[in-house]
Amino acid sequence: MWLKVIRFLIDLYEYFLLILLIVLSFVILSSNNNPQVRILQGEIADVFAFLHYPRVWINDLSNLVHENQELKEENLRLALLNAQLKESYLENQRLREMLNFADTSLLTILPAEVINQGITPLYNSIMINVGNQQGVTPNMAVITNKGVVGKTVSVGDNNTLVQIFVDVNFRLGVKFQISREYGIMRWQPNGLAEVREIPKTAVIYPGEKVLTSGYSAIYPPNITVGEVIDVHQSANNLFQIATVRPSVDINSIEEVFVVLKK
Amino acid sequence: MLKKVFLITAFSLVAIFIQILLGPWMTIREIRPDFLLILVMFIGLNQGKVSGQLYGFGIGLVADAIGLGSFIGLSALAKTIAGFGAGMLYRRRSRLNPVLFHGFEILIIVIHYAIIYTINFKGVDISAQVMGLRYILPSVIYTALFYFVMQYFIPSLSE
Repeated sequence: MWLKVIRFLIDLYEYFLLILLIVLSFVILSSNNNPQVRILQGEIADVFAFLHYPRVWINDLSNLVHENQELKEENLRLALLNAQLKESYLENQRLREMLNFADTSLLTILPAEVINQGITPLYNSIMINVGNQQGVTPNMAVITNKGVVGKTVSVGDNNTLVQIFVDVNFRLGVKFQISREYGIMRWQPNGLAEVREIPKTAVIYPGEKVLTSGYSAIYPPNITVGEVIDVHQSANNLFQIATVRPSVDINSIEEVFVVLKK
Repeated sequence: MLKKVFLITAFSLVAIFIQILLGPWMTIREIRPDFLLILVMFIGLNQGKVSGQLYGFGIGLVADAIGLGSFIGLSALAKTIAGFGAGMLYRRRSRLNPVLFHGFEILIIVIHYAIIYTINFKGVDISAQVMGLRYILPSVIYTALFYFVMQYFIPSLSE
């Protein structure tokens, strides 16, 4: 077999010699520095570029696993960074709004951060990071720039438990902005609040703003509470009941104000 | 063997002198016959592929070195291929149709000039048609004319 191959190659020696002489001619030719020869070299390199493809392909293949791992890590790092940036952006937005509220409010207020939610089974509550040392006492109103959140109940040195309006025992004296009627608002299990004992003769408009009444020792007057979405008759047909959607989304609050002085 | 080498060397020197002395005088609009190519083809026809290509390579290098070619290596390349091509016709004159035989000879001259001019005109804004009609074809005709005349007057050269 090998003998046949060698014999075959010997039979073709004239052709091998031709290839050798052509290659030799090209080598000598490439020693010239003429532009024509440079162009020719470029064209020859183009023609024989395919010879490099397998090597490049194998190199690419061997790097693929490592490259994939690196890309995954990079992807994760960027995803985390992206989440962090989004968070910072949202926090920035909120703080800007609150700063604007704090500047324009006539109340003496203390900013605080929500550090926990619902730690006691007694009532729906949140924990904020201010306390006695910052001048907080029980029964102070807790609000945001959007409206009422609740009131302080247990005050520690640097933390305070706040009863929030979704607690079933929470009651709040409110008034309707247009009709000027007053009522008591309480939270309902259906995710909305109700204001009962509204006189039958009162005209309440859906969409009307509901504000704090000002008759409370805790809450300053005219703080937004929510908006009327429905008005209907009570079961005994003596009063009206207004369904109110609170203006504060209690699940998403992160910063609040404690009203130190009305 | 020695006599053959001597004869080839003598013919080579004569061809080089003719090319140097008569070449410029015979030039018509930049076109001149290539006596070295004629000699390469005669050697290929008489001695076969190996001698033809080796001689073509050697005489091509000499031609490039003494300034008869353009770049060093270009004539060597073209004449190596021409010598090999001529060697393919070795001992085939009687077996091949004369038209085919001479056609093949002309084809070798065409390939030789195609290589020379294609590389010479690299980077020059000239179309293939212009190159073929203005340079390659006249050069082929001029060289082939001398080639066939010499074959006619000195038939032993091609035997």
